[in-house]
Amino acid sequence: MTVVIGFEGSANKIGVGIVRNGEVLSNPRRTYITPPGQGFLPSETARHHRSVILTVLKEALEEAGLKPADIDCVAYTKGPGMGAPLVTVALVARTVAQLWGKPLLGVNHCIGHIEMVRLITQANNPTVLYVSGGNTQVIAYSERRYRIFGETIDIAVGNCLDRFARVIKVIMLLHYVELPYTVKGMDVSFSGILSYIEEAAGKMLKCNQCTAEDLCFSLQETLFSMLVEITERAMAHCSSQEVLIVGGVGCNLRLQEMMGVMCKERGAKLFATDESFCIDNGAMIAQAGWEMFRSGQTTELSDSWITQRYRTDEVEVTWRD
Amino acid sequence: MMEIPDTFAPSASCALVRSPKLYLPTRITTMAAPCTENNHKQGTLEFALDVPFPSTREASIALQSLSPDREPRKGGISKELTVSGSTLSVRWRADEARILRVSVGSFMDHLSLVMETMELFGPPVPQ
Repeated sequence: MTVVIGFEGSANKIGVGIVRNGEVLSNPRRTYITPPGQGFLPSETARHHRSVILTVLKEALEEAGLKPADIDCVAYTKGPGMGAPLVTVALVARTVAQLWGKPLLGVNHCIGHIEMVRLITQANNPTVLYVSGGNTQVIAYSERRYRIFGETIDIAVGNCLDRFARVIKVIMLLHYVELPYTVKGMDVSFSGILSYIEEAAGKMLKCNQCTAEDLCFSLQETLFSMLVEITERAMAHCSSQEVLIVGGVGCNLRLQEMMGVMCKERGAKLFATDESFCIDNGAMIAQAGWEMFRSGQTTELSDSWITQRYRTDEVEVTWRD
Repeated sequence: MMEIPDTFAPSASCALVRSPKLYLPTRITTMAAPCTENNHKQGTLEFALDVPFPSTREASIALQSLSPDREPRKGGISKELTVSGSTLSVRWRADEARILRVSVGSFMDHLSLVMETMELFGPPVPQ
């Protein structure tokens, strides 16, 4: 039995999770929520994480019914993400690893998402769509790497939706307004659509050409169609019959619905999970750490620096064939 | 709470008084050297911090936790951490006072988080 504790705090969620041989023993989490209309900034996010992390750590141990001696490895998010929050979490992970005399393991955040949903859904070799506030990538496993087949060339899809939501200050759906559709080969681009719709919102709402709800609906339909297209393209390239959606935007039911339609047409299977694992959490870092640790990886303290940029394909996936 | 002086005066020292837990530092001394007449042209500022810990082991744990991450700002600031006996020493060099203040301020936040973690989850297991 191998027990791994995982620390995650690369964006506005701070979570500590404990995993033992594929079982999630505890997974407490806190979210830093800013007032409506505002995004979250690194220093304030770090301050939030710093104020709760030790409490969440205690909760994780208590809920799992474990003592530090029962832990085999301490995993934490090495990157990618926001610098100040990443440092806050890494400091605690490094310190407890040394206090408890346990090996340390730096985990790639995106791989955390993939490994957790792989565990839960037991998908064999899926094409992964990773969509969140900070990331948009289509990933397929090949020869010891999670290869990025396509990605956003500018902002993440969640970022695009959040920023427009702040401009429009509303949420709902209705009739479709045509927006630019920017798939570029295997990749997607969102910043052009965002600028277009931010400007259009001003003009069109004034002339009553459409409602705010129509624009939100249209934005979602357009962005999600683009994502479904690049996922399908990757599936065709890899002859893959499974799709996995991970990341916070993966909670979106419309995205799941649209992806489901594409999968049905291809005779492929769609896997998705609920909020507890789609959204950033500590157990996903623990799970990826569990896989990495069992295949012989650890991180030396001097190499445990955090990094805001950390590509999914930089990691050698030693735990898969 | 620790106060970082707004103006760097030679040999400024600050006392930090904390709760009576044995393995928390009870005083941190700092010394700041502003640019003198001689190196005014280079404009190099220095700041020194010495943090006593109850043992060499704990000072080393703090060092290993605090040293891996690089300064967010690439140019204009450098810091060096060392342990001597049971004291963690930090030495900064910076071109501008503002950059130095930001770095020292961040470091103090990080140091206090490490110390709080050690207080809640320590003492360290025997090696």
